[in-house]
This record gives sequence, C-alpha cells and structure tokens, in this order.
Amino acid sequence: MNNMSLAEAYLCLDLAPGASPLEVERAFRRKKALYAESTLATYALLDAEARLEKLTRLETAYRRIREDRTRESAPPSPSADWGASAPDPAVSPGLFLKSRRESSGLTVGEVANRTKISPMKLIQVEEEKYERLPAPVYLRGFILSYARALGLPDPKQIAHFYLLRYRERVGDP
Amino acid sequence: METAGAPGKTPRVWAVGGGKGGVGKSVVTTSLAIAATRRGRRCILVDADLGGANLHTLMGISGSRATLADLFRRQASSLSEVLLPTPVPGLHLVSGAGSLLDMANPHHAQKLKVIRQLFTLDADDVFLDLGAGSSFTVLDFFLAAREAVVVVAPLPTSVENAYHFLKAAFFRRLKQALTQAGALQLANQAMEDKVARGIRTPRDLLAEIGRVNPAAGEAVARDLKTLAPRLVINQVRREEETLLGPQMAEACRDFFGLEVDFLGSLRYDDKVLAAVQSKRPVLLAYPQSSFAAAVDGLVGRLLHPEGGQP
Repeated sequence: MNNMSLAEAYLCLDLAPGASPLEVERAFRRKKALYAESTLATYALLDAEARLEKLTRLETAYRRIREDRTRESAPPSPSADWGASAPDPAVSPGLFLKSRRESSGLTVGEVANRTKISPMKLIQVEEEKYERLPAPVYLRGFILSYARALGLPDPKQIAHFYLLRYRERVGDP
Repeated sequence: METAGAPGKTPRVWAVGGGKGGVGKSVVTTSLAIAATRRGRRCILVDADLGGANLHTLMGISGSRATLADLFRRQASSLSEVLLPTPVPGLHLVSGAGSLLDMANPHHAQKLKVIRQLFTLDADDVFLDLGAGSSFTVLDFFLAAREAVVVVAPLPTSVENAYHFLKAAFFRRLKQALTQAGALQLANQAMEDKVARGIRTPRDLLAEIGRVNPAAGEAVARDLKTLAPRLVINQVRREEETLLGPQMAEACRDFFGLEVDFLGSLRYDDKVLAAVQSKRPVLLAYPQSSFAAAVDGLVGRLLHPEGGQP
C-alpha cells in the first residue's frame, strides 16, 4: 500500500515536511480521533467506506513518514525505532524516558493520567533529580509504570538502569 | 464601545444558517444582533424564514405588523418601509411571514431584489435568520451574504443537518464558480474518472481541476474563498462537546478545502428557555446570565477577528 509519495503523506496529515517527531505523532493521533467512527464531528460527513479509506490513508501516511525518517538516521538500535540521537538508557535513563515520551506524542500530563504518578514526580524522574526521588522500592514501581505507559519493550531493563544510576548518585539507603 | 460606521456605507450582512430546527439558530441570531447593538452598532434583524417566522416572538413584538410578505405582495416596495422598532434601542426588525400562503411564494427575481436591498439598508450590521433546510431560497440568501454563520448543536441530527447544509451551499457555489471559470465540463469529466484520479473529496476535485487547468483552478479557488463560514456550537452541556467546534472546522478544511472559523461554544443555559417562554429576548431579560456573557464574547470576535478582514 505504500506507493504514497512523501509529499502526499505530509499533505494527508496536514504537516509541513519539517515537522518534529512530536508534531507528527500529535497530528496522526488527532486525525485518527477526528475520523474515528464514534466521533460526532465527522458524523454524516463521510459514509462508512469513505471513513475506512480515510483511516487507512492516515496509517499509510504515518508509516511513510516514519519510514523516511528512520532511514536517514544512524543504524537502528534495539531500544529506539525512531533512530536518530535517542539517549542511551544505560547512561541517561531519565532523558531516555523523556525522549520516548516525546516520540510517542505524549505530554507529561497525559502520562500522569495513565500512571497516576504526579506530573512533578515524572519530571523529576526525567530530569534525573535523584535526591528528590523516593526510595528504590517505590522508585522501581514508578519507572516500571512509566515504561509500561510508553509501551516500551523491556520496562524491567529501564528500571534496572535507572536504579543503578540512582545508587551511584545517592548511595544505598 | 465600537464606533458605528459612516452613514451611507454598505452594511455587513451576516446570514445565520444551520439546517433544520432545534439548534437555537433564531435565539443565536437575535442575541448576536442585540449584543452588537449594545456595543454601539446600528443593527437590523431580518427574519428570512419564509413561512416560519419566529423573530418577532423572540423579540416580544406582538400584534399585526408589516412583514416581508408585504414586499413580495407589492404592498411595500423596499425593506426600509417594513422596518419595525424593537425593545432594544438601535435595533430594528424586518419580520417574516407566518405562512407560505401569505408569502404568495416569491419569484426568483423578487428574492434577488430583497437580497440586493439588504446591502442598501441604513445600518452597520444586518443579521439574517435563514429558514430551516437547504432549499434554493435559503442557499441563495446564505451565499449572497458576505458573512455566514452556521449554528450547530452537539447532536448527531444537528451535525448531520449542518453538513447537508454546508454541502448544498458549497456545491451551489462551486457550480457557479466553475461556470464562471468555464470549467464545468472539466469538473464533470474529472468526476466521471474520479477513482482513477484519486478524487475522494471536493477538495481533491479542486486540486485536480487546478492540475489540468491552473488558471481555472485558481479562479475557482479564489471564488470559493469567499465562502468562509463561522461556526457556533450551541447548547453545550458536557466538557467533551467543546471539542466539536475545532474538530468540525478541521473536517471542513480536509473535506471541502473550506476555511471554517470556529467562533465559539455557547453553553446550555436555563435562562434561554425561560426568556423564550416569556417572549422576551434573553439578553434583555437576563443580561447577567452566562449565555449573555458568552454571546457578547462571540460578537466581539465576530466584529473584530484577530488579524482578520475589515
């Protein structure tokens, strides 16, 4: 299905070619929500067939754009499917979580809603403010929740890396 | 306080449509007119709902009165002869007729005459309450007005009616524009071949016309740009219904290539019902109500769009 040109893909999502990964994610989500069958705002504008076709085109456009961008970056590493300059989770686990959050088009608030962890705590996790974070037994739970909310493939590994860095900085309580 | 326009200047004509009844179009039209008048504009309210006139009731004007029907029956020769004073100083009303029989079903030429006269009324702003539905009469009024407002309620029936109305208005305007640009046959040919040419929406059709004949495409696009309706979502009761406005605006842009400007939402307010029941305009009966405040906000944006046109 991917005979859609890159230009058509950007047009389909109403994006400029220079859009950031965050903007691409947000546009895709917004358009998908707009044309969902249950959405009042597009009721009766499109029939079922046209709606389905629109949703399919949106998926195709999104994949086309991601395909183009991943191709441009460094060889894909196991932990990043966007490629390009994703922080190393072993070195900067907080930054890594933040970059994955942004690639998913999520705000801190949205992650807070999903995990029930306060936005402030999430920011402290991202900024690696180790002294402000709770004890490891709770921290591990936070990191696992956060990683799962982002749909990361190996939450336990991220938690492991995070706690290693925590112990390096704060020591063992 | 807004400065009123110079006398003799052409008024801005606002046509308020939205398809079939129940969304509160008439209440919104009268309220917009009153709010604009309160801000210092000289306004005229016109009830163009031929055969289903309500504005006089909403304004609390009773008894026998001059109506648009007098114009169509040649008992009056101009709109200014049938102007009625209202309880709001600075606001006059052209009342509609109560029945189609009364109207003696106006000819196209008579309708055009009324439309032309709207632009010669001595006022800053003319607010036109269109009838329900998408008949040619309603569409002609809508398209002739320089400014259009569509009122929608957060109900599937209302959204459906709004799209019927917008599609009808759009296609009527499109046909006029295509004929004007000599591209009607081109468009028909494109539509016969639409699957092959990837034409799924009116916006795609316009792009295709532009591809085949750039000059015609540009002329048609310029013509259609004049159809830039504002959207008002009325009777909002739930938080998620405030998404409807921006979403419909985006859908219209995607589908028609139309710039629909979301003007704002009006929350459901009990005071509106109470006012209508007592045959008084809401803004007069309940000036402190949240509805009155919200309408004033809309009028502010209507009269002075940010970075917008005059």
